[in-house]
Amino acid sequence: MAKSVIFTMDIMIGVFLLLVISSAILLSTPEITYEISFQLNSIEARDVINVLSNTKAKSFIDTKSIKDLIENQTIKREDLNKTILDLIGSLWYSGNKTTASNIAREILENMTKKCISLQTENETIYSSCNFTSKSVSVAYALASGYEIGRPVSGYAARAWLTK
Amino acid sequence: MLIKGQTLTYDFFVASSVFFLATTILLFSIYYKFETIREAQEKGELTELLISASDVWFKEGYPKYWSIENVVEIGISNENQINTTKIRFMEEMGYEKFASILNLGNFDVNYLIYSQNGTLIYYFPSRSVENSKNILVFERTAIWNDSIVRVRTILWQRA
Repeated sequence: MAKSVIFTMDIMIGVFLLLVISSAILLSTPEITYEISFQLNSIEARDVINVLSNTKAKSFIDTKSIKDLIENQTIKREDLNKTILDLIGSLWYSGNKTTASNIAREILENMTKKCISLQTENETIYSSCNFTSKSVSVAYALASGYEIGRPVSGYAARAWLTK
Repeated sequence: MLIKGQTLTYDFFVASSVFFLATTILLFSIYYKFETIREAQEKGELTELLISASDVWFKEGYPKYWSIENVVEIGISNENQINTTKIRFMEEMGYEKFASILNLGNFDVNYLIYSQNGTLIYYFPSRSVENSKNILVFERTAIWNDSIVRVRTILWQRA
C-alpha cells in the first residue's frame, strides 16, 4: 500500500471520530429543559385539580350540560353546592358518563391550552388529546362522590397534563 | 538534513488543514455545549423565581390574614380562593415594598388576571415590559369570587 493512501485513511478515521464526538455533544439536550417543563406542567396540573375540587358547581350554571341537567331535573338546586369534581364524579358513577364527560370538557377546554386528561381509577372522564408527550405530570385529589340518590362513596381523580 | 520539499508536501498541507478544521469544530462544539448548559441552568433559576412569584396568588402568606403593618410573607389566597381584601392591601403597600418582600432583586413582575372568556379583569402593578431582558411568562388557574380565573405572571430582568 502506498504511503499516501495510509495517510489519507488515517485522516479520514480521525475526522470521522471528531465528527461523531462533535455531533454527540451538539445533539445531546440538557436534562434541565425537561425538568423545567415537567415542573411547570406539574404545577398547572395541581392548579387544575385544586380548582375542580374547590369550585362549586353553581359557578358553572351557565354551561350547557349543567343547564340541561337542571331543566331535566336530573340534579336539584342543592346538588349545585357540591364541588364541580364531586358533581362530575357523582354523574360518572351513577351511569351518566356522557354527561360527566361533557361537563368536564366544557370546563377544562377553556382552562388550559395544554393537553389535559381527567381520569378516575382506570377510566378517562375527559381527555383533550392523546398522550404522545415526553413530559406528563399528574395531580391527584380524593373526591367524595355523592351519587345521586345513592349513599356516599369515594373516588380518586387524576388530572394529567402534557405539553 | 531534511530538504524543504520533504516536509512541505501536498499531503502535509491537506492533513494540517483537516486537523485544524476538525479541532475548530470540536472546540466550537464544546463551547456551544457549555453555553447551552449555562443557559439552561440560568433558565432553571429564572423559572424557580417565576414559580415563586406566581405562588403569591396561591398561598396564604404569613400571618394567614396579614395586613400592611405585620406582613412577613405575601400570599393573596385564603381558603383556596383569591382574597380581594389582600389584593387591596397589596395595592396599598405599593410595588416597591411588594417586590422587596418577594425578594425579586434585579427583576420586575406584572400580574394580569383574565376571566375564563379571556377578558382582562385585573392587573398589578402598572408597569410596561420595556428595556428588559429574559422575559418569562407563566399562566396558572385560580379561583376568585367563586369563578375560575387565569393568573398570568410576567417576570423580567431589568436591562
